[in-house]
Amino acid sequence: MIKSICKYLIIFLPVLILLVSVNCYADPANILWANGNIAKAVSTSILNGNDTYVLSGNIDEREARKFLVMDMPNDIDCLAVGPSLIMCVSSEMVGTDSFMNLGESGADYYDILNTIGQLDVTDKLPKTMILCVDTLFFDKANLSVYTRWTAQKEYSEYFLQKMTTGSATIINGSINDNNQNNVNIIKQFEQLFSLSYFQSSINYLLKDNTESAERIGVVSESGYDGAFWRADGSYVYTKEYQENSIEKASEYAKLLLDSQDVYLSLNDHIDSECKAVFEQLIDYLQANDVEVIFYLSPYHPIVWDEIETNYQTSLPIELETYISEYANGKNIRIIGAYDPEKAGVDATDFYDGRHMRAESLMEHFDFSVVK
Amino acid sequence: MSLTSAIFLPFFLGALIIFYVLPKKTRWFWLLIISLIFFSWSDGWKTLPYLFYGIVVTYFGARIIQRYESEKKRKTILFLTVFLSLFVLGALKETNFFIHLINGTGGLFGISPGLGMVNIIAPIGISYFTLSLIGYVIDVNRNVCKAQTNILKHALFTCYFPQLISGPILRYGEMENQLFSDHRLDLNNISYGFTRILWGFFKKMVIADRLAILVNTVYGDYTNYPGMYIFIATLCYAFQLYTDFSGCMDIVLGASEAFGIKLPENFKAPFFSERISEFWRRWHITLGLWFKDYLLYPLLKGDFLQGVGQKSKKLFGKKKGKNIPTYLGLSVVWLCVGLWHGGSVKYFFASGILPCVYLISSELLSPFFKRIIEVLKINTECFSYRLFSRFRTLMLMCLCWVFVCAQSFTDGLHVLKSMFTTFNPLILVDNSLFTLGLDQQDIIVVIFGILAVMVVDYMINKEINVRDFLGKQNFAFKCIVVWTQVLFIMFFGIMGASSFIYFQF
Repeated sequence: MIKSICKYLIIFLPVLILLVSVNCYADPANILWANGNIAKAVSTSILNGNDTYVLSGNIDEREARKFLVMDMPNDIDCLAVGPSLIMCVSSEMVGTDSFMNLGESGADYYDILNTIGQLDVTDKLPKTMILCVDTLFFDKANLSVYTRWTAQKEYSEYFLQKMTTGSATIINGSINDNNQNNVNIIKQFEQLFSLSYFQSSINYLLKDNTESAERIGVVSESGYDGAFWRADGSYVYTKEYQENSIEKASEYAKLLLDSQDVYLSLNDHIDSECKAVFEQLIDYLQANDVEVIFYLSPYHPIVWDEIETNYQTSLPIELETYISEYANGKNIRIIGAYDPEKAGVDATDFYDGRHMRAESLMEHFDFSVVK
Repeated sequence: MSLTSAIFLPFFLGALIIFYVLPKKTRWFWLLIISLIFFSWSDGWKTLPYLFYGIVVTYFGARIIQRYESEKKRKTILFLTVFLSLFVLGALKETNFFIHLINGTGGLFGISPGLGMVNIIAPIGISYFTLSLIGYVIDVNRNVCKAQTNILKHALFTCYFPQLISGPILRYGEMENQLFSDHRLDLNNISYGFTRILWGFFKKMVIADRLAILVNTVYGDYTNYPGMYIFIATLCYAFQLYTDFSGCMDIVLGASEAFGIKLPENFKAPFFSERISEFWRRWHITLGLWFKDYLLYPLLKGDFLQGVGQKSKKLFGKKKGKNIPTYLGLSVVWLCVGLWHGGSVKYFFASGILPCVYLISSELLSPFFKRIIEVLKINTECFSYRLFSRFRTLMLMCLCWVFVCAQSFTDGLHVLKSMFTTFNPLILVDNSLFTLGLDQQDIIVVIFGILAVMVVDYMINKEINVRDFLGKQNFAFKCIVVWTQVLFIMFFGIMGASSFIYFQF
């Protein structure tokens, strides 16, 4: 009997060891690290004043932003909110240390309402909010394409109700989710033995992502080539991306046009419901003594030329006109412009077809909120 | 709970450990409990009443039959029990088929019955356990076995969990001793059971689910994939269906064997069949045997077909006339098989009508084929002829499966037309096949997998007992066999993909 059991162990134990060790070593979704909640670990590290990196890059940005909002101090003067276009804006550009960048990749209508809903719930609305106004907020067709916001939808639901009725409660959501850790322990255990996770791990390792020492870490003074978040929540792209040549950036711009990316909204128009909510949002913020500043991130000249030539009635053109008029009426300051010529930028100022270089932002725009 | 779901193995392992820890006399009761848990987990509690209905009807039916001596009374109770069992099966599985048929037939005569389809959910495995239960009642009537007096033991025979969802269809006489005897812990059974489960996972997750990608791509958009694409997809479906269903059987038989209960085999290397009739003796064996023993033979021995036989002998002569009752009996059986697969015209046609046409026409045309072979002096005893015969059988079956893969019977006809009216063999060499959802690595994995399955099937075809063969090998060889399978599943298995095809029947 014992001999037979030993034989079984000889057959199955190596397989089990292989499974567990590969899942543990690669862990592409960072499930087995930082108590299963790498998003929380990142936000904590940022709030501790560290420039923070995540090696695999596989992190739920929205979750991290949520923790950032929940755990940050109540008295931050200036916040930046919007999609990735604003993520490079730093405290240095704004001119105050009391600043936090809450931008997140592809933030759309619901993402922005989620973030501001979280700020409202925690009573952390700032004195000044730099809001990156982008087509993503006004294009309802996109909302069904990207559904990343749904994980935190209770905050947008709450905030929409609050803006309309003046009072609301969070449904199905809680500020401090105590069940989070229990769920993660079960999830961690499952993933340790999961065959599908094993396959993801193998794919991850085959892509040369073999780092395993520290999943998250603090960027040392000697520099770091990868992407990371600064202690003010702003984002620094990888050194390789920052060194993209003009040609490379132009290539990205052409690719963006070729792919007819949904972010461009070239065949759409301002959605009336989104517009109404946007105006409601600005009214709400102003009523709560928040000074709102709009930031319009310029398009790459190649992209804008194409928009002006072939999409004269598209959402970007419509939106630039609408925002100028609306901001005038509401006495809101605008930084930048979609039209690169108006904004005074050219092809050398871009990392890719849409994102401006951090140093160009500093050079061309005055984000200063200090009066 | 699918047999390939992440939860099945822990469930099975837990059940197995407790099974052998419990006192021997109570083990059958534990099997009943886990069977009911398995059923509820797989299908929810709502369909449990259908299972209980089948158990109660056949339990009392069999007991009453046994109580009576009179043949007439026994037959009446038998008829009633079978009717009550089939009524529920028919109502759950065939209502929409008949509504479709009535609407269609009405349309032919310009009448619009306008009957709407009914939303009925049949419990999983009802087609399988109903046949097992009917077989049991008939066996009691034939005095092949005695009626079970303990309703809980009868319930275990009905819903024994490994086979509950997709068979094999059980015979009470074969299972009684195994299910209710004291099960001694035998590590060989457990070892072989696990090896077989592993083989089933390999077939299902590495081959069947991978081939399904290609098949679904082509059949989901057949207008854009004509000719050779459809031919390749149908051939792939043949292997998908086989590895899916036989893989499921491997898991079922392996799991059962670990409990010390040997279930009947459902496949015997069907792709090595040289004739259609042989194919059906090797494919879904327990279903074929069930229909043969409980429907075909009673029909042939019945007064009606005996009478038809006598009349046809007079009309067509002794030689030709004697086959007519057999053909009629076969037609009834195949129509029932078609209905059993149920619920739609395409299944009825592909699993009932077409195989029946094949079988009868192959019998009728047999002298003609023999004559051709004689005239052309074809050697039928060589490898190449056997290979040709096997390929011919497979192609005939593929013709049936075209209708199974298509969305509907009408779609099936369009697919066939598209397959035979477009000539595009170049897709085999111009990398077009890589546009069907499988890349080069996938295709290599599939080919390796199919070769492995064919090697095992070759051994089965040669009556080599694979279990004994493996048992005689050195430990290192066994390790390599197990590790190869495990590593293939780990690296190339398609996880959490789909249910087994035969679950739907």
